[in-house]
Amino acid sequence: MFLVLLRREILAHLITFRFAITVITCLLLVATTTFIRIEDYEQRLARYNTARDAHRDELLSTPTYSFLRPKIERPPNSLSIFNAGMDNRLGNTLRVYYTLVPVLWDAQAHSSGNIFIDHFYRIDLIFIFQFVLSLLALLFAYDAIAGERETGTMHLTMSHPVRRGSILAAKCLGAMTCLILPLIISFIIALIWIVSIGSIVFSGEDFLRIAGILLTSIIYLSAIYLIGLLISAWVHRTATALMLSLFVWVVLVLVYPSLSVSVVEQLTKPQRSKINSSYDAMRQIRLAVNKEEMEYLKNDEVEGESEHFNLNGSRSGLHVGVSQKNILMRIDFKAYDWQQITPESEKHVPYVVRYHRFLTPLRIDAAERIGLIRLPALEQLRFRRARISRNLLRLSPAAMYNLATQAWAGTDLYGVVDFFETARQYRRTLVNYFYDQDAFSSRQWFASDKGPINLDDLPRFVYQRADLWTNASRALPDLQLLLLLNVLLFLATFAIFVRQEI
Amino acid sequence: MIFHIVKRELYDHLSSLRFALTILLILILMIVNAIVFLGEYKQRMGEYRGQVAWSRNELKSRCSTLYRLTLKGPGRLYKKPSPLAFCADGGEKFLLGEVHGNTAGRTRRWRSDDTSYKFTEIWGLIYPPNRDLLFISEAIPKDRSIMPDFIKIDWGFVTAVLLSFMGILFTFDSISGEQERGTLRLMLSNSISRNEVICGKFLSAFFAIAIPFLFGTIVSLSIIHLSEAVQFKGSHWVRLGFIVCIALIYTSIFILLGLLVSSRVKESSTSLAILLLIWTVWVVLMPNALGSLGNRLQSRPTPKEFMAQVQDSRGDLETRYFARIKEPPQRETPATIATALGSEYVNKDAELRDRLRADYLFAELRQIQTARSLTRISPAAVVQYAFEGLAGTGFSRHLDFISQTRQYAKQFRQFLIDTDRSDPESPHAVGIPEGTSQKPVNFDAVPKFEDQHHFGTDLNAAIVDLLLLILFLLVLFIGTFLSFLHMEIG
Repeated sequence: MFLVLLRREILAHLITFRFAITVITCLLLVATTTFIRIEDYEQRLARYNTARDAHRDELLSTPTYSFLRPKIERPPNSLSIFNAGMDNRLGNTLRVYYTLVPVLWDAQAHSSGNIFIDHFYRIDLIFIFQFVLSLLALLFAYDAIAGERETGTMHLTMSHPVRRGSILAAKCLGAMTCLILPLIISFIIALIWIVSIGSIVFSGEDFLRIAGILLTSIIYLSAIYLIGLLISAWVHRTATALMLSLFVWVVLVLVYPSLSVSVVEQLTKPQRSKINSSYDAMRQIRLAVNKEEMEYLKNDEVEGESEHFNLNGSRSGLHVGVSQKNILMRIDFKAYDWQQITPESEKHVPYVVRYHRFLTPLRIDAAERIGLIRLPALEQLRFRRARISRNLLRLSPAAMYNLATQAWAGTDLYGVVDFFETARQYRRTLVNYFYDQDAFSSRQWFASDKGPINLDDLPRFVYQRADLWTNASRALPDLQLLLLLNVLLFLATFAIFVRQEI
Repeated sequence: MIFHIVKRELYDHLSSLRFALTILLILILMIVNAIVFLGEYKQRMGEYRGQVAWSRNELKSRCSTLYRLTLKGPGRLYKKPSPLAFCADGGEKFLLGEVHGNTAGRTRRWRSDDTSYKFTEIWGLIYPPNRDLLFISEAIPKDRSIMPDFIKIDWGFVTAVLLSFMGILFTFDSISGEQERGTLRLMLSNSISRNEVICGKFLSAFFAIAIPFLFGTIVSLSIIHLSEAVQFKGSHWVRLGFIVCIALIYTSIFILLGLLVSSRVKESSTSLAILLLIWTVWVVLMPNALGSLGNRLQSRPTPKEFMAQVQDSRGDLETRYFARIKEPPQRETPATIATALGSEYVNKDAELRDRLRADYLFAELRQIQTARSLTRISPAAVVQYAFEGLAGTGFSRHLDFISQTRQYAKQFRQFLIDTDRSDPESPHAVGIPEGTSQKPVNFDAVPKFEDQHHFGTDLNAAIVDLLLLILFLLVLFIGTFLSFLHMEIG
């Protein structure tokens, strides 16, 4: 009997006009969007490759150890075709200084093009499913119970020996089958297109991620369908059910996410006092190092307070002294390069070596202590707001769907932050490399007159995106909530439906 | 008779669930929008005033001699926040809010056999790098927001998304539904012309949506007006009037669309499915998809190419002039040939930098322009742009700001030359210390920049959009009318 019901439901949906037209529109949109996103990805990849090559050349021509400040690049994420997320909004190129522990806001964007356009016109596959297929789900649901009651077919069905539970289950399964069908076709079209282009190669893990995205999409559509079904069971007239479900759709998909983000932005202002106190603490550390330096220069045996110790010859140098209070950033980076040292001043060289041997570890140590203040402060100031708005967004299934698929694709905030974690590790590696090479106490720290440094054994930066399990565990909270919502909605619909008089 | 139809239909609408839900939703959004705007506006205005005062002080300190003023320029020029930003946000935070009239102070050394001279570059307009123009210095982006991003809620959003949605919901069953029930046949059996029926239906749906919207706007405006944080002037009310009119025209488009589809299709559920799809594609998806094509259709030089181009052109200019300068400039009246040439070189160099920077900026802006032109196929985008134009926010306002700063730069240059002319002891070769008047400048006489919101300019920017909307309206009106007249009623 259940099978008969199920077959009837599926057939009833499949032959409707709304099904046909929605599926056709959806497929057309999917094809267009895939095209746009692939273009975008390829462009970003090309930029990434050029930038990476340029940085490698620049690195290889570094004259002295103190000039070493490699630039690293965050590669674009190929899964951004499904959900673009924050992948091209946040910084993707970063200079690693040994005197600065890098965070997200230190990076710059050589970006995909035009920030204004990127912000205002966004489209990806998830965006389409979120809007078009969820509408179809509601159109399936609104007359599922109320409509059958009005036309009297429900009465007829009930006259057979069939439990109400199986009627409801048949309705859900039937509608979901008809919803999953266009979804899977869309995924297949997108994948065929992507794979046949040839420039994007998905690994096995990527396919599993895409499967995760597909799974999340199914759960999302089923949640929206159940919302419609609940309304349909609860309300007596089809017209009312339709109005209510459409309004609920507008609120959940369009209005609520925007509303909650702008309210959070307004209510939680970053605290100035916190910024100021952290900035002061950082300044104290910096001042302490400067004082040590002054004292060292005063107490050494060479006349004058210059850090160049009366060396003569030709030199070039670099001093980066950027200070940005709002992101608590302070770089104090000095690089020296004596291309030539006159024989007369050669006797001063040991003093310079001693100076750097003494001071550079102090600077590194100070940078690390500053990093220890800065990371938690920024975490509190900025991530907290993002986290609050994320939690508030969880009231809307559409927003949850978006966040969960971002997590699967690795284009969410944490996916991007991973890069900076790797960058911090790389900075550590760089410092260790200096220690291994005994770089601070070598002449090549500040002079290239005996030839440039040999960088063959300099550790290269390699960025590996988080593995599948990390992505899955990030998507899990939203996924669980969506599942829970499904169960609750089904139970509620069941409770209402069972008690109803037909 | 038409009055009766309107009355009957309007009563139906007003007592329906959809009307109650509409009024509730619009009201909530309008109130939240007003409150959020008040907080933001106070903050932005405070920042703006502080920045302008600081910039004036800077300018004052530059007035010690004319050469110093020529070297350093007018300082930073700030964009004034619009008091009508609650109508349309316009993505202000992604557009640069200031233009610098500064110099980087770089020098070029001219050498001869035994003498040399350093030319310092004078001020020019610098459009500070926004996030992806990071080539000028190793600047750090202002505020890289990590908030999840969704569309900002403003009147534009309420109109473009909600009112159009309501337009569909109020009309999808107005003809097909009556036909299903058979009441349409009944009505036409009386002595009513079809024209009257369609007009009656249109008007009743129009009023049913206009009432909640007007109610919402009044509530929102009273909150903003009563808080006294914003002072509206006469022209602001005219702008608001235009904005409300545009919103109503836009709503009419979707009401007509609803009637059109409803008269073509037999069942109201089919009519709804078609309308919802048209709505999602036309209002939500199309602007996004077409806009993303903007930076693919228009290319612009990469920062690297731009830098190379700047270096080449400036190098050319330098070699040309340095070949002609035979001796270092000296302070003599009238100016020696070398002084005159030197002054000409520095000024030409400043002009060249200005031009190249502006070209680069406009290449970037052209991409946005293309994106906007493409998206105008969708009335939702058109209404958004019209709102931005009238509210004095967004892209067209931004272009106006840039052109105002350029005008001001011209005025400032002229002022420098005029001041120098009025000093009889000066050699009249502005741009190098030896050729410029040494007298202090009267600060009060220096032209000062103030960003102005001109109603005429803003209306000009919005007029294309307004006309486009009217075009959409007319086409749909004719379509609906003909469709209903030729409809067979069974």
